Parts: sequence; C-alpha cells; structure tokens
Amino acid sequence: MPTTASTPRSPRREQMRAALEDQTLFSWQLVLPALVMLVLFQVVPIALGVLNSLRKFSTFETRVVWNGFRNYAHILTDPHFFGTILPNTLLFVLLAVSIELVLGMGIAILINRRIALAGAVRTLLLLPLMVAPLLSGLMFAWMFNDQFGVANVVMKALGFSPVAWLTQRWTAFSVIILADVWTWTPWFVVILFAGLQTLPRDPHEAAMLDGATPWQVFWHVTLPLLFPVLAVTLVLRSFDAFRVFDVVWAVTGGGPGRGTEVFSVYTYKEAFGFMKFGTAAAAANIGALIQMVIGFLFYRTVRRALERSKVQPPPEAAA
Amino acid sequence: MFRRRFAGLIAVLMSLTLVLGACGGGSQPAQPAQPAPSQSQAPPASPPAPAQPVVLKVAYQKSPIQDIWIEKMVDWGKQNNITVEPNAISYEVYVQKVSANLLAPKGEYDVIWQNDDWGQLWGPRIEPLPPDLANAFQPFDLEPFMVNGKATAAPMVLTAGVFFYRTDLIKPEEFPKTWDELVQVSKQLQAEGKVKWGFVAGMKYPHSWFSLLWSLWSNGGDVLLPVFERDNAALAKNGWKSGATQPEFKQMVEFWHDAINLHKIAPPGITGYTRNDADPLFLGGEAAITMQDSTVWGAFNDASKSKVAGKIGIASWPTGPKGQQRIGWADAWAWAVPTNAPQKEAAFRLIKGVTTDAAWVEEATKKTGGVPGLKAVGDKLQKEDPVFGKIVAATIGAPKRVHSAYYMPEWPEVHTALADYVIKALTGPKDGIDAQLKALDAEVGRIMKK
Repeated sequence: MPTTASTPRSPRREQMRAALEDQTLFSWQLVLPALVMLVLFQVVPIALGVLNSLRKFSTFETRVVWNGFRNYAHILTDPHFFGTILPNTLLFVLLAVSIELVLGMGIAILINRRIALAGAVRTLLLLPLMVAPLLSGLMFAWMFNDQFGVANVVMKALGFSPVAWLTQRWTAFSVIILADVWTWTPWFVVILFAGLQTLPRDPHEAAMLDGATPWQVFWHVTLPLLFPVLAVTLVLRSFDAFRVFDVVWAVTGGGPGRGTEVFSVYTYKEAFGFMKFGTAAAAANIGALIQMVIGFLFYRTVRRALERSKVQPPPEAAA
Repeated sequence: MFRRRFAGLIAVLMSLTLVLGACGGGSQPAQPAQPAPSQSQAPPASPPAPAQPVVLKVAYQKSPIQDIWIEKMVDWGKQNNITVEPNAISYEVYVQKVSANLLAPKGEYDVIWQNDDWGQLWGPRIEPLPPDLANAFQPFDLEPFMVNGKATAAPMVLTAGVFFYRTDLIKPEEFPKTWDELVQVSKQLQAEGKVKWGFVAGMKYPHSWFSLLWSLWSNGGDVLLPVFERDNAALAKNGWKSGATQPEFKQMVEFWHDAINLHKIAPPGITGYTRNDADPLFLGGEAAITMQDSTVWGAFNDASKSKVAGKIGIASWPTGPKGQQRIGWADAWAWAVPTNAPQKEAAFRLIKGVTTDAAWVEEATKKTGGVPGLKAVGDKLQKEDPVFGKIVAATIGAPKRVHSAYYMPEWPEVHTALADYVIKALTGPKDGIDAQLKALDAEVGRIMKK
C-alpha cells in the first residue's frame, strides 16, 4: 500500500500548504473561538429574532404560524410608537447624554487638577457606577414619592408645596433623567479623566504663555485634543441610552399613562406584558434598524469632525 | 511551527468545547423518566434496581399563602416518597419566567402557580385536570382556567378584593355603603385630624383593581359590553364593544378625579401607586380605608409591620350612584401542570393530594385568610368564624359576583389601555375626561380588531 510519505508533493502544493500553515490557516485557528462565540451568541439569536418577527409567536399559539410582515406593520401603524415612544426615547438620549457629558467633562477637569483628597474624591465619584441602574431607579422613585420622599421634605423646608412628581409626564420624565444622570455621569468622568491625563502639556503651556485665558485654553486646546475620546464616549453612551429600560421601569414603568414610555419598555410590554413575542421581535428589529441609521449618520459626522480636529504636524516634522 | 500547531489545536479544542457547551452544557440535567404506576412495565427478571426518587419542581410566588401551601406540598411529598423542590420566583418576573419555561420543548417545572389574571395566556400550554380532580371544585371558580371546555388548574384559595378600614375610627355599622358616604366619612376623619387621607389603594397598571375596577363594577359599568359578561363567544357576538363611553364608566372617572383633586380624600400621587406604595400609608396609620386582596389580612394584622394591627375591619365595596346591587369578586389562585412538565402523573397526584384535603384547606384558610377553593370548607368556616363570615359577605356572598379579569388573549393589552387612558384623564383637567374615554374606546377597538 503506498503511503503518503512515498508520494512526492508538487512544489505548488507545498507552497500552498506552507502559505496556509503560516498565514491563513493559523489566523483562522486563532480567530475560530471568537468566531464560534460570535455565531452562537450573536448571529444565531439575531437570526432567530428575525424569524420570530415573521411568526405569530405567543404562549396561546402552540403551532408555528407564519405571519409575513404583519408584525412590522402592526408596530409601524401603532399611533403610540411614532407619537410617544420614539419621541420619548430620542428626547431621553438627547437630554440624558448631553447633561451627563457636560457634567462629566466639568468634574473630570476639576479632579484633573491637584486637589486635596484627590483619591478619595475620585473613589466617591465612582460609587454610583457600582449601583445597578434598576436599584438607582428604585431609589429615585422613593426619593420622589409624594408622601415619603425626601424631595418633598426639601420642598416643604424651602416653603414650597409638595409635588406629586410621578403623576405628571414632564416631572416624571425629569426624575428619570435625574436618576440616569446620577448613575452614568461617573462613567463620563472616568473616561474623560483618563483622556485628560494622556494629553500633552506642551500645547497648554504654550497657550498660557501666549496669554490665553483658561476658557480659551479649554475651548481651543483641550477640547480639540480630547475630541477623539469625546466622540467615542458619545457614540457608546448614546447607543446605550437608546436601549434604556431599568431606570424607566423602576421609576415610572412608562407612566403616567404612557407619558414616559421608551423603546425598550414598549418592546418588553409587547413581549412579557401581552405575550406577543412575534410583535416584540419585530419591534426590536425596527429599533435596531433605527439605531443603525442614527449610528451611521452619527459616525459619519464624528469622523468628519475628527478629521477636522486632527493637529497638523509642523512642516519639519512631516519632512 | 510546533508552537503554532499547538496553538491551533488549542483553538480548535476551545471551539469544540464552546459548541458542546452551548448545545448541552447549559441545560438542566435530564430527569430520569419515571414510569407512571398505571403504566408500569412487566417486572424485570433480575433483582429490581432501587427506584429513583421522584423529584417535583414547583414554581410559585413568595407570599404568606403560597409559602404554607409549599410547606404542605413538601410534607405531602415526604409521606409519598416524592421530593418536592420549591422554586420561589418574584411576582415581578413570575409571568415572564414561567412563560419562557412553557415555551421550551422540555419544561423545568412539574407544577406551577396559575392565576386567573393570566389563565387565558397560558391555557393551551397547561394540561387539563383529571375529571375527578376538576369535579372537586365549583364550576364558577374554574371558569378562568377553562381551555377547550376542560379545566386546567386546581384552586388552592380564592383571592377576593375587600375593603379594610380602621375600626378605631369607623364603627362597622357606619362604614360607607355608597361613594358619597365614602367621601363624607373620609372628609370628616381628615377634618378631625385623625388621618391624613380617607382612602388609599393601588391604581396604576396592574393594580387598578383596587381603585378603578371595583368602582367601575360597583357602579354597574364594565370594561367590555355586555356588562359582567365573561364568555368570549358572547363578547365576540357583541363586537368586543368597550364600555368606556358608557355613563357608568364616565361617572367612575369623575368620582376619582373629584376624590383626588376636589375632595382631596386620596393622595395626589395615587395615580402612580402600586399596592406596595399604598399599603405603607394604611399600615402607618395615615389612611382610614384601603382596598386590597383579602389574603393580606394576616400581614395587615402583623404588629411588627403594622401600626394599626388589631384595629382593622373588613367591609364590602361602596356602591356607585348607578350601581343596582352590591358586587363582589373572588377568583382563584391555583396549581397547574404544564404540558412540557417532566413528571405529569406525579404532579397531578401532588396537586390532588393537597387541594382536596379538606382538613388542610381549612387549616390553611384559618392561618392566612382568603376563601377556600373547597366549598364545603367555606360553608363550615362561615358558620364558625366571624372574620371569615365578613370576607364571604364582601365577596362570594355578594348579591352579584363578577370575575376580576377577562379571558381572551388580548386582556392584558385592554387592561393596560384602560389604566393608561383613565390615569391620563385623572391627571388632566376634568373637562378632558370625555376625550380620553373616547380615545380609550377607540384603542380597545384597535386592540380587539387586530
């Protein structure tokens, strides 16, 4: 019986084998675990979600009944979706992320200076990040309870009438924003503080020697240099805020009425409130598409801004 | 080269481990199949191996009532060579978790707590009761659990909505019998500085039973028409017409608008209250009257949690201006067996063993309150126990008894819409009530047409 050892290999085949071993095959072997993870826990669930969105899928439907695009039509013709849910979600993203960014930047600049007990201050600032968002939501719900809440104690002490915070749309929305800001501002602080620490000191010192005010230094030197970090934090946090669930659920459950209902709460109610898993899957897919479109536009804008903000190297360095 | 090959081999092994883990590693170890006694095979020729112990997993919600039923199940299991393994699930995620389990090809639980509120949602995925077990209970109590003409759950207790009031402030004979009297008594107690609020209860979804729904029914109104009809065929014949624009419905909304904004007998935040927000006000002595499940009787009289323990009375619902008769509800908390349960035969033996044990049902009722699922026990207790007599009078003894939910799949959506639109009406100007009720009517139509 001839053996493979006795079969002479063609030089071309040898070359191919070597190339595979050295580059492609070895690369694939390295990538394989991550790829399997990705397929099992990302691609397969997404595919199942898409399939389920085309079905009548609920606890009271025991057969597989294909429903075409009716689940999508149901979401897109729901007057609450475009009238309340989407505006609430986008408003939440805009307000919460903007406030968190401004506060986070301010605090990061403060703790970037040499201040007393800097370590303790930084640790304290991180505490809200260690509280689960659901718990911080519950905490704020009780703080703004009309009967027992500390907020109304303060209102009374200041001579104002107590307020039923969670019974009106915009006061309830404000409490949700406040809870989210309290929870997520430290995240901005941590990232931006790390960014500030890596900035070169030379441009700042040069600007100050030229007589620039602290505001001018911040606006014309710090901010452009920090822009790449800012852009990344903004993109990541905006996507995260679009999916907000726990804080809203804990503070108002989407009420009063549907006044503070956001996208994730809407999807959750379709799935686990009404047991319409097919419709909920369609809603989730529509949400993902909306995020992709907004994300694409956002990314393009940020990329252009980043290119504009790049510090041009001096001619001699370029040479 | 060796190192590269070695790294590649490790990568492949890791991938295989992941695939195998994802396919089987995360699932529960399969229970050995237990042949039912009636289906036993012929005895083996060799000496029989020791019988595998039967393990039954029970999904339940932690509450004083279910806790003692679980204790009883564990005891019953010990006497019958069955290990009962309780799986407590928080009320907030109970429906979600058990629904996910019911959708799986192979279920985790053998017995689950089933509630009339969502009986219709799980119905097709629950086993019908054996006829002898179903016959032990009253047909009215089984109505919420009927699927294709067969009962699917065995009641442990009937939970009933009753009024609780402070006996040190209101004499039993002076308890309000109408809405007007409820306002007058409340205002008087508030004016005398005895309480901060006359009435408090849960209102936001899904706690609307304790304010909006009892008052709707006690005024002769209902969510869908015909009034008090729960048969899906009859409701469908009437086009699933909503009762939102009926005068009885509007009067109910106006009553609450006035109670909160004009008479101020209820806290301004009540529209956002669950019963967990409302109970502390009553137990802390700040409210004179509340509406809750009769099953909290024991907890309300627990001196370690309640400032008003020992000073609490039970009463029927006050009637609205258009209410023709006193109304009550009492619907079942029940035990059921999922169609994907691993041990169905043993699960039914367990359920039958506990729910039809009259001595146990009587003991459980005395310990925790509620109305027993077994009628004979209820009749006996009514003669012996004055507190139980009041619960009965306020619930199953009321001239008209209604089911507290509807039994079509769209009920949670309709109920949510009702709470949302009524709360919008209550938090807006009074002259906006009509518009909100018309919008609710249209929304119910939209939901039922889908």
